Amino acid sequence: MSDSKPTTAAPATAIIAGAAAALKSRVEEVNRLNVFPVPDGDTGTNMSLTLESVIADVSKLSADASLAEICKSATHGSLMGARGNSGVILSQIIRGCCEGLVASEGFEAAERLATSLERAKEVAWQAVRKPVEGTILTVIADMATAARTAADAGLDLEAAMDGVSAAAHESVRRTPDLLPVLKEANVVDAGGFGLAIVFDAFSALLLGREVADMPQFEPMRSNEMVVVPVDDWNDDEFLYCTEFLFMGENYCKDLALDYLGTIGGSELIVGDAGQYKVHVHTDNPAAVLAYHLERGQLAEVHIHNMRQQQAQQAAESAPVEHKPIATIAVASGPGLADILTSLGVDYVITGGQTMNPSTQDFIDAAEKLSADGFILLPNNKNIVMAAQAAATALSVPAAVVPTTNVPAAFSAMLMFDPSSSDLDALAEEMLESAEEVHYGEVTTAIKNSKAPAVGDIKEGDIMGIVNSKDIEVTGTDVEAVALELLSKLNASACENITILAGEDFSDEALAALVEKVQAAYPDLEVDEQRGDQPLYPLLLACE
Amino acid sequence: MPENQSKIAIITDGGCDLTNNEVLARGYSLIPVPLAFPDGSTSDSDSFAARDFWEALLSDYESLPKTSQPNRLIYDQKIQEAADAGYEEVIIITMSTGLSSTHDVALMAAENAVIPTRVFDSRIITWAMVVLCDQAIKAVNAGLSSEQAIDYLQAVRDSMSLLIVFDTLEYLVRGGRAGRTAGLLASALDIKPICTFEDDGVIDTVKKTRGRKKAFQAIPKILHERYGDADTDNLRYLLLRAEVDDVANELHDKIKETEMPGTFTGLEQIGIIVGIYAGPGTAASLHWRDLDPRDFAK
Repeated sequence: MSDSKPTTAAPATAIIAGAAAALKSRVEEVNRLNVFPVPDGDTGTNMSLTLESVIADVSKLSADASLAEICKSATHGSLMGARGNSGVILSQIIRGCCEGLVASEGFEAAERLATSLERAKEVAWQAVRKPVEGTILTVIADMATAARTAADAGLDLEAAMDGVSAAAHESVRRTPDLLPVLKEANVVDAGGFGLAIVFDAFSALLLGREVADMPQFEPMRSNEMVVVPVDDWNDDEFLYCTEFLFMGENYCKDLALDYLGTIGGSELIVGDAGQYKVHVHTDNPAAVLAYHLERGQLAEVHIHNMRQQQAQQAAESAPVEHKPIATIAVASGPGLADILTSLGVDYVITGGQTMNPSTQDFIDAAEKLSADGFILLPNNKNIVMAAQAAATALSVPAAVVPTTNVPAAFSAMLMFDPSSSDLDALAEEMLESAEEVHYGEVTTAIKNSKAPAVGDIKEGDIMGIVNSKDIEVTGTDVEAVALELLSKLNASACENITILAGEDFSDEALAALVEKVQAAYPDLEVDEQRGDQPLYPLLLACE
Repeated sequence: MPENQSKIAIITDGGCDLTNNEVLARGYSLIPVPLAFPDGSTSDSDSFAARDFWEALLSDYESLPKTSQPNRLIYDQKIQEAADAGYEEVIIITMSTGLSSTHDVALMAAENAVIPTRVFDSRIITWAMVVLCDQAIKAVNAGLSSEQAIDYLQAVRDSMSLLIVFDTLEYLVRGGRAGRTAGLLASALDIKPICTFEDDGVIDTVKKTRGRKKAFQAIPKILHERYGDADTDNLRYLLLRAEVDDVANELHDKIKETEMPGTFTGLEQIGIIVGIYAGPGTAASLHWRDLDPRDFAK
């Protein structure tokens, strides 16, 4: 390894950085593969962050740093930056490689490679209390074996490294045979795959090849693979992934691991000489932290709610259904958004009177969907133009139904026909339906003002607004203003009333209001819903 | 052809919501739909009267039977009976293939029948089938051949418009018959869809409305678009109710407000076969043209 081995920090940094960059460029590919409980759910990200920490530390060294100094720095950096199961194990692989490199100084290059990988395997396996085959642990073991075989056969470094690369990919490919959950999910192991990518790039850079020219070993095609989040470490009963750096003298790793085993799973403690990385999945992070606080200091504490992360990931990875026509609407308030979704709206942009979404927001929303055409429902007169600009900017045909309020969008959606072949005609029909809605809002005046219909308005007055423009009722009581507003909306000439309760309007107040509305308008059908919109205790619609 | 009676027998099935005794009086016969109760007992649509059905549905949905398709042997037997009674041909009018595979059973029976037998897919259900059978009797009594009668039935069926306003789609879904209306169920709002049987015999939504009043208001408009003002002399309609009259009467009031409502023939009750999927509060209108069979004679 003496010819091409980096002897100063600068090329070493470049090579590690190159390997890290190779992994980073394929982070998503690796993340998608993951079946580990999160935050191992982002294995690629975790491994990438671990490598970045190595680069940060190594790049601080002076240009004439010795191999021993570089290795010490890389070991420290990987420990500090280790994230998640996969990151922690990668940090141990790096530590083992470093130890092996230093220990084998003066030997043949292929021998040094074998020594390093064997040591890496040893350290990584020791770090995990219950090693599982079919994971990154199997891959590093197979790599070490391949390196040993090559060294014993007297191969040169290039041939040895190619042999290790091939063995790494072969090992990744057979992970599903070793770990049933991988097979069920039809994926290969993410951590092992990440390691193979890093080694490929590392090897290419060390040998002076372009990363892109590195030998192809039928790389794993992860794109078509389906990721089903399942747990292969048998601890999905735990809610929190807890990890931190621990600094303490007289710390007994084995005793600490025993303790962690009693309150969690996937426990890992790596490091030595008073500096450790602790990783555990537990329902009781407080106990884990308390145990360590009694024995030393903590740093870089990360606690992730794994179930939440998993749900988020599942939602993000759900395939987007292609539709002939997709609909995008604007609303603020989770209840309003839910109603719109239940009526077939594909994407709800959060926004409204106080927060007008931009043209870009519509375009971004459209990009999250897959459709041959779009119907845009701005639901506010100040957003209509942004929607129209978005409609012309989109790469597929789009039509705006210039709705000026959310209940109008409800009516418009009743006319929505996803099989329609004429987008403009459809938008026209939807608008016709939307225009049947008489709309009223109840809100609070934020300053003194005047309006033609009611005269002076004092700050804090409750106002009833017709069609988002005319303040026609003022008062001090939301219910009273709502009832008067209904008469201004000509409710008695309508067939039904929709009442949407805002986030500050209670269920009890809503029930009381509905009773009074029904008494005042016995012939009308009242449909009360929680809109949970901010600022407007009530939105009313009659049609 | 004999002047007094046709030699073509008309047979339908329990999908029409009547019993065999009731249809015998109208000149045809039917094969009841077998019912299987949750307690393991079995019965058929002939022995479960409409009123009993609605009472049972309202008191305990879980006790209601599931419908199944009639046995092929019953068709063979029915065709044999027709042959024995002196009929020379049979027309079987089945409930929609979009809802049931009864049509397939009838087809199998027809292939090996003792007398020539034709099977007509009504692509519809309940009293619309009664109307088709009544019209079929009229056609064969007017001397149409079975082939001409089928053409005639086709034309009458094409003129039909069954508009159903479900109070809830819950029963349709519980029974697994939501067809293309299934998507509406997730709706958070009180949506009353107006449904119909499309040309392919599958139930679909004509229009979605907010609340029953809006739905009933929309129906005359749909009818006007369908039938127009011209030539409404032969337009007939009936109304269908579930457990109570008033909902259907409310719909009737809206239809009467239209300028050319057609001739009203009666308010009928939906029975078990449709009712089990329609649920309480359902109301429907059925319009059709009383076409002249003579126009279909060669």
